Amino acid sequence: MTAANVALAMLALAMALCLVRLVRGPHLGDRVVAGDTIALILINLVTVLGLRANTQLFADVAAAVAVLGFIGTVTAARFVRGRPPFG
Amino acid sequence: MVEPVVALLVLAGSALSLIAALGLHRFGDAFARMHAAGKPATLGLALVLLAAILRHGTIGTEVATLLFVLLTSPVGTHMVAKAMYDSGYRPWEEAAKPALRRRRR
Repeated sequence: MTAANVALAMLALAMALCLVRLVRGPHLGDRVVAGDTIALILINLVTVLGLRANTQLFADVAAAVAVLGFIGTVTAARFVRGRPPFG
Repeated sequence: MVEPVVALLVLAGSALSLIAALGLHRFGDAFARMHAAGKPATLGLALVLLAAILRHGTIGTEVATLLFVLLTSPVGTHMVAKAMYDSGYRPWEEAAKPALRRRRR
């Protein structure tokens, strides 16, 4: 399925851009937002992989990644609180 | 018959995710970045999950995932923004300047 391959290429590029933002920062909040977006793109990627392999099993993986991404974002938000931007 | 629709939905959803990542990469500060990143990625995920529903004929897990993401993505972004503002982050000041008004003089 050609469309799935093109979609996978676009998602890989999107995740690379998010990883650049995750590494470069410059602040803690930028990294947290980048991680949140990486979780969203990962759900997208897993679903497209399931479409490409023509199996329904990846839907459960996508649901698990969604839950883990939300828990990670909430934990990171509580980590940000109380830390000043420069320092 | 359903296959072109699935391909179109997958391509549109992935393109929206790419646009979200581009906004995350290019925008000026963390508040603008979470504004640019959250909404297109969520809509792209909705399109891709709709494609999975059309292809596989199952609806339960995909709809549960979509509802969960639609509920939790704004909550998570709001928590991050509020925690950042409370600990001293302020929005980028260049964004609030009236750039067009200066040009008219």
